[in-house]
This record gives sequence, C-alpha cells and structure tokens, in this order.
Amino acid sequence: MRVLFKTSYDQDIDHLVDPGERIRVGLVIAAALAAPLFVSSYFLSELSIFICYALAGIGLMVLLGFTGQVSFGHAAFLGIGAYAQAALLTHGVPFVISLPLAGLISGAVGAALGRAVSKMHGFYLAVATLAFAIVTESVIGAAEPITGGHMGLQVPAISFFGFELTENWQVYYLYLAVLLFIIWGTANLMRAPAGRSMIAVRDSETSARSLGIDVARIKVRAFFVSAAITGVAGGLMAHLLFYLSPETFSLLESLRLMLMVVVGGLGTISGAIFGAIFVSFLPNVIDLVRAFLPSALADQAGLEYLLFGAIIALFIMFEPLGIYGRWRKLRLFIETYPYYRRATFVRQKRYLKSERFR
Amino acid sequence: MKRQLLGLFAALSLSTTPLLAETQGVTDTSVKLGSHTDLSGPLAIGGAPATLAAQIRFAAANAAGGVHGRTIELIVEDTQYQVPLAVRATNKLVQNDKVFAIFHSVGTQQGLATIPIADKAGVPYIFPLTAAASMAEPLHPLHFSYFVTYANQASGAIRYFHEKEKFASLCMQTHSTEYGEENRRGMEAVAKELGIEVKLVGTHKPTDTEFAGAATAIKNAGCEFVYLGTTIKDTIALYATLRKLGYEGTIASNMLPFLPVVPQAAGGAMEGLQVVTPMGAVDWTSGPAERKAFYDEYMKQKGEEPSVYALYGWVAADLTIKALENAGKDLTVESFTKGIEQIQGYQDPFGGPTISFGPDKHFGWDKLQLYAINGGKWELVEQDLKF
Repeated sequence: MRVLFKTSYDQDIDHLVDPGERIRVGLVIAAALAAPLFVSSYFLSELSIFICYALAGIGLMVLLGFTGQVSFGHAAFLGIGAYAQAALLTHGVPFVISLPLAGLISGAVGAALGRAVSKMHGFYLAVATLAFAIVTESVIGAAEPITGGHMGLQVPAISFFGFELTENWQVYYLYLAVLLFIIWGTANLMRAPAGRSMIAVRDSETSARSLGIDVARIKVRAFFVSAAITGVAGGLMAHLLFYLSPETFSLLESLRLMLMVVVGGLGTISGAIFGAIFVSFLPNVIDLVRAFLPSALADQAGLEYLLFGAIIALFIMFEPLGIYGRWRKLRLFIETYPYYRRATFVRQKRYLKSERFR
Repeated sequence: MKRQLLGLFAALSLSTTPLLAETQGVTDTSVKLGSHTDLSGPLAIGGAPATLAAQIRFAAANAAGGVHGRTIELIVEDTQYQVPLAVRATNKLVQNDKVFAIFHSVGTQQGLATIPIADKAGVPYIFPLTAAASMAEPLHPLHFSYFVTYANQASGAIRYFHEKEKFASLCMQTHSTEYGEENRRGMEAVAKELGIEVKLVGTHKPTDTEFAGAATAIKNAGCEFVYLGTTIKDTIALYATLRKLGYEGTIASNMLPFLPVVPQAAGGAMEGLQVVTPMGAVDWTSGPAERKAFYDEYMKQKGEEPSVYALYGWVAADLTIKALENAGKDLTVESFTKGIEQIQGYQDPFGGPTISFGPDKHFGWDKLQLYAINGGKWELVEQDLKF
C-alpha cells in the first residue's frame, strides 16, 4: 500500500486522496470534454444515453450502495422525472427551471415512499418498491390531463433563453455538465454528516441508532436524494426518447438499473459509472450470449430477464464488489507486487448476533 | 456594392441548400434502407418473418440488376420491442449508416419515439409494421403506412355487421393503451354516425390473462354485438369466456388475432370469431408464379410456411421497389415520396385488396376482407369490405 504523507487536516476530506487517481479522473474528464472533436454525431447521442444511465445509476447508488436500501422500482422515478420534465416544458416552463423541478418532484415522491417503507427490510422493502413501480405505471396511464395517458406525450426540444439545442454536441455538453455537477454534489454529500450517517445506517442500523442517528429520517433523506437524482436523469432521458409512454419505464428498466449498480460495484460513485458502461454494451453482450445458446432458448421472449437475473446473481456470488472492485484489486496487485494479499479486501467487520434482529 | 454583396449572399445560400441536401444513403449503384424491428423480443413472431420476407424480395430485385441500376441494401437493427433500444437503433441508422429511409419498423410506441429522429434528418418513414393511425396521421410528406388504421378496421367491421344484422347496441372491450384509444375512437365515430347505442366500453391491461369479470360485464350489459380491440392471447381468452358464459351475439375483432394458431386454440371454443384483415390466407398451390417462387425461397430459408407477417414484409418491400421504379433515375427524397404517391391499384400476388396512395392518401390498402372461424379453420366470408 502507498503511504500518504499528510501535511494538513484538509487532506482528510479531499475527494481524491491518491495522486494517481487524481490524474486518472482528470484524464477521463479531459477525454469527455474533447470527445465531440473526435467521435461522430451518432456516437455522441450514444454517449448522451450513457450519461443518463450513469446519472440514474448514481441515484440508485445513493440508496442501495450508500444507505443499503434496496429498490426494485427505480425506473418509476426515471418515469416521474421524464414526465415531469415533458409536462413542465409543454406548459411553458423554461428548461433551466423545469429540470431541477423535475428532480424535486421525483424527490418528493421518493421521500413519501421512503416515509412509508422506512421500517421495512429485505424482501419486504423489495416487494414494496416493486409494487410502487407498478402502481406508478398505472397512475401515469390514468393521469391523462397531465401525462396524455396511454396516448403518450411528445417531448419538446431543449431550449435555453430562446436558443434551441439542435446539434448532438450541444446536448452532449449540457448532459456532461449535469453529470459532473451531480457527481461533485454526491461526492460532497458523502463526506458530509448526512452522507456519513447514511453509510452508518447501511453498515449497522443498531450501531447507527446508538450513535444518535435518527435511522428513519436518514432513510427518508436517502430516498429523497436518490429519487431526485434519478428524476433528473429521467428528465434528461426524456429528450432522447422524444416520446413518452407509461410502458417505457417498466420492470425491465428497473432491473437494468439494479444490474448496473451491482455489476459496477456497490458503494462507490465510480461503480455507477462502470455499471453504466457495462449496461450500454449489454445489448451487444446479449447478442453474443444468444449466439451460443440453443435456438429454442435463444429465440424465447423474455430472455433479457433471465440474463439480467443470472448476471446479478453471479456477481453477488463471485464478485460482490463489482467491476470497480475488480479493477481496484488488479491495481493493488500491480502496485504491491509481489506482496498482494487477498485478505486486504475481506470485510473486517463481523456482525454481532444481536444486530441481526432488526 | 452592399446590395450586390447581399445578392451574392442570397444566391450562395440558395445554391448551398441543394448541395447540402444531396440525398443520404443513395449512390449511383446502391440505395440503403434501415429497419428497426423486433427479432428476439415479444413481437419477434411478427418482426422476424416480416424482415426475412422483405430481404427475400430485395434479394430478388438485386439479382435482377436492382432498380435503375441501384442495388437495395437493408440494414436491420434488433430492438427487442424496447423503446430506448429503438431510439438508439434509429440514431445509428440515420446518423451513422446514413440510410435513405426507415423501412418497415415494428411497433407503435417505437414509431412515435423514432419518427422525430427521422423527421429531423429528412428521412422518410415508410410502411411500418403497425396499423396505428399515428404512423401517417396527421398527413406528413415523409410518412407512409400501407395498412388500414385500427380505427378504420373497427369502423369497417361495425359498419358491415350493422348493415347485415341491424343491431341497435354494441359493447367493446379493448386495451387501456394508445392502441385501445384508437379502437375506441374508430368505434365511437361509426356508432354515432349510424345511431348505435354504446352500452359498455371495457378496458384491460395488455398483460391481463383472466377475463371472467370483463366477460360477465359484457354479457350483463345486454348488447347485440361485441367488438374486441384486443391482440392475440386476450382475444382467445375473452372469446372463449364469452361463449362459455352463453353470449350469443356476433363477436368481431381486427387483424391482430388473424393467425393460423387461433382457430384451434381453446379446444374448439373459437368457432364463429369474425375478423377484418387486409391480408388474407393464401393458397400456395395456385396463383401467379411470383407467389410460388416466394413460397419456395421462404421454405428454403426458414423451413416453415410464410405467415401473414411474412406477407406484410414482402408487400412492404415490393411497394418500396415500385416507388423506387416510379422515382426514376434521379432518386431524391422528393422523387421517392412522389413515387409512392403514384402507386395506384397495386395488386399483390397473394390475393389481397388493392393498395393506392395519393397526395392526400398515405394509408395504402383500399379495402378489408372478412374472415370467420368455421370448422377449426379461417374461412373467407367477404372479400370487399369497405370502411
């Protein structure tokens, strides 16, 4: 392991402690900024979709990775954000106000859900969030005056003070700015007392409570932040979909988000980004897998559900830290060669028996 | 001087527009079409055979030297019937592959989401594999559908049976989706026109499988005629339940349940179901040589008889070839859409009704056919059904 020589207390709260990491993140941001110079317009639109998924992944990461609350219905917040954005723009609200508002609306619904499920754990929480997603789909379908019901809703174009964004690179830069802002905000949140108490709740509710943390309130707050970020992602995604219908934000989409954070690596912002990269390539991966399966199975409808489930299960069994965890291990292996120890990544904390009674 | 400069500018800006508008996807030797369809999702039963049949038709045209010396290339993207994937696929086709037109794409919502992308690039959206009215309504110079809309299928069926049976009331059961809304719109228009009382309009979700409640409500409403704006599985379940409950009136539906599997479904309980459809059952042993040639080629590649979706795919491809022929040597978007509008009284080799387009007519098929299940088989009842 590298020894960091600290000369100031401020270093304790640095976002990126490791100088190598600072360079890597800087390079990634520079590459992202320079992308429109090198890649085609089509690839930029793909990158914009990737950014939406990365944002949604960060949203779910706050809930699942940082606070330890599972949500099987996160696509509902994507849908609420998208519909809020489209409806607000249709009613003449300018983009700079409608996008934060879409996030806030989604966050408020999230907080309400969080209040309702703040005493639930495990299966019950999973079922409750799943039910919420199904109900949301029906409500969107029924709320015809706002959402256009099942006839769907056309999404107006993005415009800034009368200037319409028509080119893909303009949209891409806007989305990138939002993504960087949210990443920065989330990183800040996680080093603030609010974020620290979320992590405390994830690791052990009993010890969090004994430290004076109001567990239920923290959960409501986590639901709010998570839903708000996912809502913003939905608002951005709406502009790429052009047309919204209630079925777009289905169970499959929720599963995709879940897959993203689990495969990417729970508990880190980088994990959400890695997961989004994985999900973006997933259709190609599925095509590849399909080629190896017997045709009776490969032509079966609903193969995605099976594959999504299988990938989630395999990652939880064999690499709970996800792709990002694998990358960290690889890096450490190279850095410390030949002194790498597997035990470095084994979780030290052992639960007391009493803690298992929630 | 200033005025001259302005004039020069105006002339330049005018002259650059046609230069920029050099038609994408067209060279002297080829024309590129793109299709986003469902090859592996829930609607692969329709998307896969339609795509294969279209490819067979294009391959035949290419083997004969192409259209005006241009070979037709079809790029197919699988969307698994998911809207986000359809958007990505269309972005790729329009911006990366630079296709000339989006051809025969599957799905209504997928269409609604992707048509703006095609519109922005000025790419025609032609002959999608859905009969939704929104595919070519309101009239748009780049949108063409060859189907009769679901709304018109509903009104056609109701009009026909009203003339025959003179019923005074009807019930409808349909989806709580945009597809259901369209069925309802068609039904309400014709019911108002003919003075038929609408006793009940029931809706269910496309995924529902249990219809005892819906069927009981229809039976108790006491209507003389029932129109089902449903798809495949729910049509079977609803029809069987209604007959089991002892409902005696006529029950009709649109083209969606018109599949070879439906007459034998539910253990013979499907007897008497009436459907309106543009494309009928085909007798492969007779008819023009083209029909047999297609049958043989399809059997060779797929190993099964061409389904009705394969016919849709073949006709879409054939119409496109006709339009390319009409467009002439100088192929632009404008000459191509003009070429579609010139198609009049087109007759496919499978015995379907004629197809005509025009500047104000962007829905192709002129008539419908009526089929009924009789003795476990589809039987042609009426070949010339107006809507």
